Amino acid sequence: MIQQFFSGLYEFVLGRPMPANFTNDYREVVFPNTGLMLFIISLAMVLVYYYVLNRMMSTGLYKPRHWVIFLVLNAIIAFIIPIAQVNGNEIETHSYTYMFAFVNVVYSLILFFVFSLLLKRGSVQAWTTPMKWPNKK
Amino acid sequence: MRITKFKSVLYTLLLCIVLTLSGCFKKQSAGDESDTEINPTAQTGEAASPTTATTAENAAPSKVNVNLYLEISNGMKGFMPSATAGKEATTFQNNLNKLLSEVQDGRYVANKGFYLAKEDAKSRPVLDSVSYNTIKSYIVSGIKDDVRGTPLPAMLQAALQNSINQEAVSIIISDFIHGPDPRDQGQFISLDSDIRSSLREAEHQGLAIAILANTSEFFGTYHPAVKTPELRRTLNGVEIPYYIWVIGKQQDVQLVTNKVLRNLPLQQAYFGFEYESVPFSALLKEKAFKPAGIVYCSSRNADPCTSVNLQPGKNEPVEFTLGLDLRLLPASMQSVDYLKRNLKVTGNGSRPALVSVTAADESIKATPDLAKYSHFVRVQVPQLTANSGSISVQLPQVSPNWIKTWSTDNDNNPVAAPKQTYKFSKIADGVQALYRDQSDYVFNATTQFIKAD
Repeated sequence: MIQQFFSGLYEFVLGRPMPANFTNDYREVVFPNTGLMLFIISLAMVLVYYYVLNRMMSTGLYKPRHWVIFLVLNAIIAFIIPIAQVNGNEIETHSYTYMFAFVNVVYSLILFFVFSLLLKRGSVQAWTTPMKWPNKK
Repeated sequence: MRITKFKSVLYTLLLCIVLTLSGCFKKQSAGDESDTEINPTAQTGEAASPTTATTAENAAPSKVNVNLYLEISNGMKGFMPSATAGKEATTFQNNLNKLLSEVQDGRYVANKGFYLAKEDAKSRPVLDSVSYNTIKSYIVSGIKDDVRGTPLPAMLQAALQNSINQEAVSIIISDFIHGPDPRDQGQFISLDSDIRSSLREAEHQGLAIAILANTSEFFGTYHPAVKTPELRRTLNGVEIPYYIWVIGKQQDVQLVTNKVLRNLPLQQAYFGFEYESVPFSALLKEKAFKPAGIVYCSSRNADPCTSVNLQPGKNEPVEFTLGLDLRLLPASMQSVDYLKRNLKVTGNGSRPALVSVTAADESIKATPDLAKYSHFVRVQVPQLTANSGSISVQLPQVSPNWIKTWSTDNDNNPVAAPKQTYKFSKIADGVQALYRDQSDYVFNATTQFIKAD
């Protein structure tokens, strides 16, 4: 179920895994692992930014450029994980691997943004970061 | 003040990230382990049946009982001229000496019996049990008896029955020139069915037959089966064929041919050999045998992989390699040339074709995952005709080509037509007929496939 969801998520953009003989490794291990980590890490980064740094600790990191730093940090992690996964499972590296990492970065940007929108209202200092919408006050 | 606070926050943050990341990687490896834990149950289920089947074939005995029968009709005398100083021994004498000593003293033989096969005055076969030294003296100093003919089917039957009673492998050495009673020449016509009848007990008992053909210089009186124009000829060093037949259980015959006879001649024929299963696997992740097109093993960690997903494209046929372990097959069947000529690739729901057959070379033998396979068959699948099916690599039971060339309808002049035996193909036909109802294949390695989604 989760395997199919994540395989579908990546193969929708990337097409079937290449080289084809490692299809099962991608579908059963690499896609689900990468996808799950992408969700968990993006969520964790957002939570850290809005709730730890800008609520519990009041660090003053509430400006949009601080938010962008976290966005980029998340994207870098999202680029490293797929490549580490592919190498860790002894899969032959292919241009597909880097396309996959790139797509994962794009997903990380989207996810980080979506999580931000959903969760920023709970923050004390950063509820208008990166912008005020959709919150009203 | 604020900057230091910012810094410390940044450090804790980095620490957090590092911890999360390392946690993630642990998670991944844990996931891997659980995967491998789940999969092997499925794999071992698949693998179990071939392994158990092969161990049955694998369980080659370390020792076998051997009965050796040497035919000593007058026609055999020329192979064993009496030794004189300065005269070279014939090939027959050299080979038989080695064979005798291997049977007598070799470590692979448990109980042994040596027999001289001849006929009595009424053309009935007689098997004289003799000592090692007696039979050896026949080989090195010649045959002193006067035995007129060789009632071939009757001799084979007597020898076979004797060995079955003693649970021994028969090694029968003869020129296989049928010499029936002169009053009963009709036997030549029914030679194939007579041979079949005489050996039917072998088939009933599930025994296999190996026929090894060789030639040796012949010095002396040659008695052809066809008596015109010459009743007999005196030959001086012409190459005449002689045959060694080994009859016994498949694995016993293998032991005798590989460990007792050792240096086998090129001409080999095997009848009744069959392998329930040979170890094989589709090799899809090996660097040495990269597949082409869309093909992957149905189960990620399966070893051996006997089920694949594939999807040939219009301009991109699927090609992959199967590794097979054929080391238990008879020697001549392991030769790449033989396999290239005879291996068949057939499909159910697909149209596979054979691309190449190769034997393991040194670099492959040094690769742990590949060392268990002796041969590699590359298969191409240009298209599928169903969503699932199978691809089989089969070795059909074929009668070797040499049997035809070593057979003749007129053996009267061996100088003009050397290395031929009268109606030998008919004799082989009789043996072949024994096993007609057995499987058509020596082995059959079937890979299941389903169309990849």
